[in-house]
Amino acid sequence: MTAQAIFFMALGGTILWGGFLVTFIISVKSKD
Amino acid sequence: MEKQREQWNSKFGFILAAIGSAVGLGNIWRFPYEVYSSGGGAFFLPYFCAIFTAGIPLLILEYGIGHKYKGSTPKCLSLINKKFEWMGWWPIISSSFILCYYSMILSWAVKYALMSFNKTWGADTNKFFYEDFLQLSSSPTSFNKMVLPIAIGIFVIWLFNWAVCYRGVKKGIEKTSKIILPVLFIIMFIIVIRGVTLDGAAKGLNVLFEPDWNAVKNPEIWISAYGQVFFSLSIGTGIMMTYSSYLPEKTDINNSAFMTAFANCGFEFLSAIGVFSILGAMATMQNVPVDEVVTSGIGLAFIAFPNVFTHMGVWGNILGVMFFVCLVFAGITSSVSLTEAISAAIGEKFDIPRKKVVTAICVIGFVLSLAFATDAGLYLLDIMDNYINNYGIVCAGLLEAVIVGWYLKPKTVRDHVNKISYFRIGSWWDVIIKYITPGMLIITVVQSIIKEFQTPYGGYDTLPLLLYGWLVIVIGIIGAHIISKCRWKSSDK
Repeated sequence: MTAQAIFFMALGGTILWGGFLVTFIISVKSKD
Repeated sequence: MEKQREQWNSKFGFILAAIGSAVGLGNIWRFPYEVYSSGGGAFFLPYFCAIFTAGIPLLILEYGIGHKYKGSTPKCLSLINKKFEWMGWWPIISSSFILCYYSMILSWAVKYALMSFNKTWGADTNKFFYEDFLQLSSSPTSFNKMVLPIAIGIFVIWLFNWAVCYRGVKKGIEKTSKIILPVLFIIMFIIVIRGVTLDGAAKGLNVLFEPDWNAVKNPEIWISAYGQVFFSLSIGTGIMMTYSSYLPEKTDINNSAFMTAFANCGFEFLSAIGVFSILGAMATMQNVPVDEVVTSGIGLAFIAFPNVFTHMGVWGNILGVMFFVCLVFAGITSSVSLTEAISAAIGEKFDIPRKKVVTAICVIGFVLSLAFATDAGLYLLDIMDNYINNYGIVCAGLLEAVIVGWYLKPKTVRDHVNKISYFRIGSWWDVIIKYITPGMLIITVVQSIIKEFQTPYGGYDTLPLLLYGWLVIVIGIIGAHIISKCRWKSSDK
């Protein structure tokens, strides 16, 4: 794979799944 | 006496059901092609802008309204102002049409999942799909016969919708989502792992992710990014308002909206990796450039992929079963959510108990869906899907944003969601709901109309476009007005 393709794959994955992880943690902490 | 409204058992149950509704067939067969054809890695710029300036704000709007007014979409809008009630019925009628053709596609996916065990589609998957499987007629107005295996599949899908919604929010929808969603994500993850380890997968991923920055300068790419996010999150269908109306008083709306959007978009991102890895492997096998094998929609799922699976030995059988099960699981949770949105609206309006209304809707829905089990079913689906999505659903979302942005005032909803959420949203949200979202949706509708006049959709004749396209839109608007004139019979209205 080219470096550019790897970069954009990692970027997209990090924002989306990273975002999910953060919201998941907040959801667990908010305990409603 | 006021009736006790059903409630989710837990917030995660609601989030899983909402993700299940958002994750649908489009995540698997539309998004990968959208990225590829809209600038690859560069598409992420408009895509993320669309998620943060339209997708998440609209989800917060729908969750907020549903939670504040505690009702289905027509009920919520009628509580804002009786004159707006029809704007709540229009998406419900559109959803009814969607549900009918969705059941047909799911019946195909069920049949293909079974056929994957011995790859009965043979070597020519194109001929098999159109001639043997669909027995497609020569024109959209030529109905000659009923295709029995598809009709049986449709029956099975409606039976499932009925069984889930009949049991209610907690025991039916929530329980089913808690089983199906994790399994769907695990299967997709396995497909991705196997996909990226195939010979030639890198070729596909390069084509998918390498950025073309010129594409970002094209306004059409921005419109398609907003369209992708809008359709992907099940906004404007009446589902999210209905689902959030089952939330308890104290809940976290803002974070739930972010979580739903990230999970849905994360899933479609995974799908894109899986799909393009397999397409890269296919191109390598056939010794052609990846661009020659790239396709989307029905052609990808029922023609291109079966063709790849045919040439993959035992792994073809395994991946075939997993891929079509993925399609079924992704679609069935959306199908259940559509059934629930329709049942809740009609049940509330005419004060019909859940079990009766769900049964009636599923029986009527099954009978109407049989039109799609005929040899002209594919044409019907193709035309109806284009018009309902591009006009019915987009206009419903637009009207919602205008009502909240310009009549109710966004601050009313923002104050409500901020009062109960873990983190607060600022006045930026008001600006988005008032100006950006309506603006983008108006541009989307205008662009669709201009395209329509330049080239009639799909190259079809005027008659089928009028009958299955524009007439469906007209039925939606007139039907919505008629139903909204009837009196509310439920005691809690």
